[in-house]
Amino acid sequence: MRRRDVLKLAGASGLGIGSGVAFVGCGAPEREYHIQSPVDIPEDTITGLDTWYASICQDSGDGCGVIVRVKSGRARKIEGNPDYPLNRGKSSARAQAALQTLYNPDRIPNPMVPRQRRGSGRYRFMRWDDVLPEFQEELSAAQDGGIVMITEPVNGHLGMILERFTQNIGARWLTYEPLEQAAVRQASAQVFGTTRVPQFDVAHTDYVLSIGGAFLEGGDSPVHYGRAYGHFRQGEGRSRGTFAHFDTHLTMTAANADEWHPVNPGTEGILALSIAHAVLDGGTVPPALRPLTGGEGTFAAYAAENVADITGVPADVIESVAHDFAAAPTAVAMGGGSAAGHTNGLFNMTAVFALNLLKENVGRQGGVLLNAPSPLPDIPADTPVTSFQEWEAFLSEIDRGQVPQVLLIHGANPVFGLPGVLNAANILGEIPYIVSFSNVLDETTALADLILPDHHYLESWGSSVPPVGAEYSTLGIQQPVVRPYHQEFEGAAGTRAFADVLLGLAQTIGGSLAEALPWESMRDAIRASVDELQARGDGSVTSDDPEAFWISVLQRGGWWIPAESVPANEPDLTGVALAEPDFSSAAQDYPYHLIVTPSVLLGDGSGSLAASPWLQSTADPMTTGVWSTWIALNPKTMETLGIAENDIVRITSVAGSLLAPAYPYPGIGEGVVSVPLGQGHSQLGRYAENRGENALRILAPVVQEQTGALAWSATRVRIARTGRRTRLPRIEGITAPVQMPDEQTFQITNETH
Amino acid sequence: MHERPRLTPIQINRDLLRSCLETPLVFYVLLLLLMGLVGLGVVAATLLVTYGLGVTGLNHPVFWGFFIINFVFWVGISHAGTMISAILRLSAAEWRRPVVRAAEVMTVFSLMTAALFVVLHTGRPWRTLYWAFPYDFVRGIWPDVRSPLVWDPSAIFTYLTGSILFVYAALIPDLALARDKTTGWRRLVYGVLCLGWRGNARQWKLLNATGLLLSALILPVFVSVHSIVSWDFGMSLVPGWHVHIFAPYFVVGAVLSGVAAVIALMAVMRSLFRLHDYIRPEHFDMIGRLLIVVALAWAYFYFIDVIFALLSKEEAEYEVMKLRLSPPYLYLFLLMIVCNVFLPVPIWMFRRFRRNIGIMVWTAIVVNIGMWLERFLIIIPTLQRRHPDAFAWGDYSASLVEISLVIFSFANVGLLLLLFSKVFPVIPIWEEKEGHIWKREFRIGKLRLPAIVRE
Amino acid sequence: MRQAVEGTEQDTDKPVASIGRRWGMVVDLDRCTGCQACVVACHAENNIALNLEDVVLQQRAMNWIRIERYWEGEYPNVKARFLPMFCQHCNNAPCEPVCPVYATYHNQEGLNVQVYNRCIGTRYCANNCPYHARFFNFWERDLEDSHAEYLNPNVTVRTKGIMEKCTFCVQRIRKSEWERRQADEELQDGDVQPACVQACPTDTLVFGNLEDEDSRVAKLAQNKRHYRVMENLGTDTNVIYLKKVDPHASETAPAHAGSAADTSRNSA
Ligand SMILES: Nc1nc2c(c(=O)[nH]1)N[C@H]1C(S)=C(S)[C@@H](COP(=O)(O)OP(=O)(O)OC[C@H]3O[C@@H](n4cnc5c(=O)[nH]c(N)nc54)[C@H](O)[C@@H]3O)O[C@H]1N2
Ligand code: SF4
Ligand code: SF4
Ligand code: SF4
Ligand code: SF4
Ligand code: SF4
Repeated sequence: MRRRDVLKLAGASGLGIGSGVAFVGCGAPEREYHIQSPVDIPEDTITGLDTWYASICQDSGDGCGVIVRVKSGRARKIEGNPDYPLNRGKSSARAQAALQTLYNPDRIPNPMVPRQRRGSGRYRFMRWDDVLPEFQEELSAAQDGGIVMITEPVNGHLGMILERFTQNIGARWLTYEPLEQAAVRQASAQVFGTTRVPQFDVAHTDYVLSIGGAFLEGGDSPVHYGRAYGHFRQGEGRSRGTFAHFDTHLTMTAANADEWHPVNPGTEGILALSIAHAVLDGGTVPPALRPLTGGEGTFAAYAAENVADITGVPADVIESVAHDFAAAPTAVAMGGGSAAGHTNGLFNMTAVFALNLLKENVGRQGGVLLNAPSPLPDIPADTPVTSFQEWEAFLSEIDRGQVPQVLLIHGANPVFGLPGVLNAANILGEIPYIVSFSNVLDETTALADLILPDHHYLESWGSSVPPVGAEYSTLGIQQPVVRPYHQEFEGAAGTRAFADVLLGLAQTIGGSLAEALPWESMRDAIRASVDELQARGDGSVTSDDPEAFWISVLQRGGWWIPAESVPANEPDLTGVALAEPDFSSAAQDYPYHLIVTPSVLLGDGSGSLAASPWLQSTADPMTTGVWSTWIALNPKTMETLGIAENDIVRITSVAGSLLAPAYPYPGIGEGVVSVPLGQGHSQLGRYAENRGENALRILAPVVQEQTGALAWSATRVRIARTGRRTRLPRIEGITAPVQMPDEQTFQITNETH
Repeated sequence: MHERPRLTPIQINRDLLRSCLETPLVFYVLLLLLMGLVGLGVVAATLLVTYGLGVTGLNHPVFWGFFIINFVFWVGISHAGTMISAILRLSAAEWRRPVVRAAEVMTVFSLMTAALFVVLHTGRPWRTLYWAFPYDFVRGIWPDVRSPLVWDPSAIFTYLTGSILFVYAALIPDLALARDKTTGWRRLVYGVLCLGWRGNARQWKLLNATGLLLSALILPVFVSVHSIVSWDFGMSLVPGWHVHIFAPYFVVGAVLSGVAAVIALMAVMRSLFRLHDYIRPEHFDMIGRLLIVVALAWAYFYFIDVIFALLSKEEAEYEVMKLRLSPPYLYLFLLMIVCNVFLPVPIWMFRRFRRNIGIMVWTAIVVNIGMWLERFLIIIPTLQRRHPDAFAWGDYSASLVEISLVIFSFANVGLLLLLFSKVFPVIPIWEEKEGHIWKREFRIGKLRLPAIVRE
Repeated sequence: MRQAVEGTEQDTDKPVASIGRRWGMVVDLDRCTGCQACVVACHAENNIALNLEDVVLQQRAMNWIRIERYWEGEYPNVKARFLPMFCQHCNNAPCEPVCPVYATYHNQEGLNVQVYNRCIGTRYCANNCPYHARFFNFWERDLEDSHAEYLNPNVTVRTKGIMEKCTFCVQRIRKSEWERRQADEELQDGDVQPACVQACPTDTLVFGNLEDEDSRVAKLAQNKRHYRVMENLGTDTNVIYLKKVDPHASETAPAHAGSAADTSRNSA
């Protein structure tokens, strides 16, 4: 009852006794109650209309389709594009956080050159008009092969432009991938006949066997696999799928499995073959698998009881998993994670992928589906990745005096990611002219003599061919959804799209370069491709009017067409025989395996994700740690070493050491240490600088022989206490939460239906 | 009262008005000290309001801390006044006479201090004053009467109003006396304040009736205030707080800390204003006896609280109590029990100790430390764990701002009392005289016995 | 007189006068992977202050939705369980009757609403919320100019000294209502998607009107795996969880983490 009603009552009774008439009708007029309800949340009111633009998320190279809410000229919210085949309206924490890399207070607003000397840390803002001629001169002056371009692995139009640009200007193009997936790609090539790792049809399969595969948190589109996983568990019209996982430690993906079993580092391939042995149950090995198993005779060595000791997986577990795998109507075997980072990573991955051959999986629903090709032949779905071996060779060439004249860098941060012993910063620093296109000051950009800041991807044009997608042949279009935050004004300052700078250079340099890259801007290049698609007259958008087609494609976020299923290739497993893992150093000096784990939020630290306070402050799913690096140790190991939670611990490899607080992690073996990646930046702005440690730095430069990749799981370390303590910032309380037996917060049932 | 020295009314007037009329050096020293500490509190409060509750040690989930502890503590202390005045007045305990006023005034000042903490502890103190009253007539919004936080101010302000009336009514004859003994502007002020008191029979009769009436009326308020404060906790859904015996338990605890505080206050007044003739060992003796009962009653309630939590099938509550009883809180718990019961009660058992003012002061201080810890133990560990399976268990350590404000609260009550003593007689002169008048003795052999039954 | 100002009238037996709408959420624990997309989505949608490192260390981080991770068992038979936790929009909300100023109250759609301009910051509601779902602004937020650019114009930027928590993205509910009203239509099931729901890749979270029997959320709420967290408290939440399926969990002894004895561990 409101006071007003009380007054009315009082007034009415007042009337009865002949007084107090003045009460009636006094008080606020009724409509004023609606001016602002004092018990309405302001969010209850409606404000104006939003504009939504479709584009592509480029934060992890997976290229999810996004739609961006724009209001008053600013991007306000990012959602998944509901139409886009890869992610169907869903998104990831990283995609959400793109707002903070877009409106990062530490973005480089203008072209810059260092004051005094390189690396002084102080810069002078420049005008594009002033710096571009000099830049062009340097490029022209460089001899053939004197230009080196370093980028992240890219696809789509940028991939095409970079390929043509480097080819025609005579530059060497290196791509940098910190945790190389070469073993996965080559294993895919050998088993499935394509380096594009196929789509494992998790959504429709009955059984997922994953050996190291961290498909829910990294790899090829966690959003795609997240959707598939949801359907796999409780999708309508299907029974609940079963999921078994083997890995050296309990990753987020492993935590979602129905059963997780630890496996000794580097023995994943043996485990896979043992499962194969149990699946075949003494039967003959299919011919395709013979090179892998070493023929029929040695196959018996993989019987479960024979490998239990080596792999650390009990024989009955191997047999029961094999039984489930064999019995399931459909099943997929996935691999990846640290298993692919051993010296025998190729063997491991090939053995795991080969399990799919036992189920005759390829091309089947609920099996392994080969990815649809890019809809346009000259727009690549992937670009070759420079192996670690090539990087080593490149650096030692410079070290020996073969110094290139010009280095161009975009999107890659090798100074941060390459093992510290390679001394990349100093060696790259010998190159006389370094130009970076980064829009944040990262460790590699800090070497640059000229910084030509790129737009953020939400401000620029681009395209993407999704890394996974068998159902559709897709070209995603990335369009600028907002004007550049640091806008160019009469050529004076602001940021400028990397591709547009290259295309502009191509036009001024002319010759074959200009012919290969005939467009004035990325927008023109994309428009040309879209016109090609329009001419096809089929797919997700059709129109006779090129202009209408163009607009519709932009509105939809791209163009796609249902793909015919790609026929299976003959597997060719020759040359991938059993291999024991090698490690960086002897077990007696360095008793623990170091497993570096990309952060679910910050990735491997190579991009600028660490500059987002949202990602920094969002709990790591397993430890809930934020803003920092920790060392995950088995509680028993900690006990043995006399280490308490939050004690600062030093781990030392042959290549270096790092300090971080210990976190008691129940899901890791006693001989394994896991350190999350993503932190340890010395640059990258206020939110990322000088926090945590970069474990990539202390990786030993051990090479996978067959792929030339860095064996990033091969490093062994020793652990030492420092006697110092700290408090790891984390979201869980001061003690790990536990449940009461009687009233469980988290409830479980064993009924699957 | 066999120890009361024979004093002439003139002497009484002189002794008891001395604090108002003379200003010894020690007064200035104390004044400066207390003002310094209050100043510290003002600085802390300024920081608090400017930067927000971030400057405290509070966090998620320990949302309440020193401020609420202090609030409960000072409301507890405030129970001394009524206990001494109303109950002893109604039961005509003669030994109350010299201490009633000080106790009542302490009630007023500690209530004010407690109320201050309620306001300071909110996130937007300026709004608290604005929203917490049923003012918003235009929009027709009332405070939510279901919230114990609405009962709190109602109870506290009722009690405060009652206590102020209580103090004031009893002051009137003394103000008239002061009027008569002063000149100039003071005479004018006292003259206005004493409301035309002439001391005629009708006025005395009215005053007596007022005293009795107020005593009777304030008693239920007295019981309700700390009951309501206890319901801030008892009415919540927090295991360890949601306890049915909190109301009587809190009231008894309040009386314990309040009466103990009166002991300390009496001792200070006695030495500061040289009131040895008026505040005498037998007064401490009587209070000591009272405290034995109160402390044991408190121990009983605490025991019930602990036992019910430990023996109940309520897992959550069990866990909270277990946390309270395990280190490091165990040490605080033991200290509290020792301070509240095991140390003082045996001491108070002995008449010799009860009459030793030094010892009594120390036990009073010890009891108040114990009672402060009791509030700490009710609030902090409970909030840390609240629901044992909840995700975010926390811990708490008070910040300098909070500690400063706790110190401030003691200094503030002290300062207000000191200033009061400068303006008004701290011992009710007329009540003291009344005691003398009523005292007629006769001798049986060497024994002197009071002639009236008023004792 | 009864229907005076919305929400100030409450009937203890039936807390909310039904208007045919009661917003609710179903959380299928068997789908949640712990990926945290919902967490960041909520931050982005609702202008939640940044949880800078200091703030986290002070244990004052604000996450309207968080993924609670419970360890279960010991190596190697260890499990980590993920439980999304946010305001349960209790129909018998313990936080509501303790608020002295009606800053938090139940509206007629079953929402536990937080009215920032009334809140005086007593934090009583937060003490009384068994789900630890309420967050207090201990500091004034320290917002970089450039970070102000992406703020959601439909959502208040809270100041220091007030309480906040999940609103079920009420601004989105209003927006959808308004959009339908422009077309003279009724709100349809699926029209409203809170930010966390929209982001969640696995479809763990489903939002809708529990009073509409045909809605997806109402149907899922009938699933036989359904339960409510801390149901014994009688909070009658509008968030319904579906139990995690673990074929290996034994029927008799539901798996649980640690023993009750562990819960008394605490920091010195
Ligand atoms: N993008 C943008 N936004 C702006 C500005 C800008 O330049 N650009 N300018 C800002 C400035 S300076 C101002 S003053 C505000 C103005 O913002 P508003 O105050 O919103 O101004 P109007 O939209 O002109 O008028 C408001 C409403 O008043 C109604 N109205 C007209 N006469 C009467 C009357 O006699 N009685 C009543 N009750 N209603 C009446 C009109 O029909 C209209 O619906 O906008 C501000 N917002
Ligand atoms: S998975 Fe990668 S591409 Fe997809 S939304 Fe997340 S960050 Fe963007
Ligand atoms: S979950 Fe907590 S905040 Fe939400 S309605 Fe329930 S008691 Fe209130
Ligand atoms: S903190 Fe705000 S919402 Fe909570 S009880 Fe206090 S005034 Fe009410
Ligand atoms: S419903 Fe909205 S406010 Fe609530 S947790 Fe989800 S995103 Fe946050
Ligand atoms: S987004 Fe969905 S799957 Fe990911 S943590 Fe949140 S509720 Fe779980």
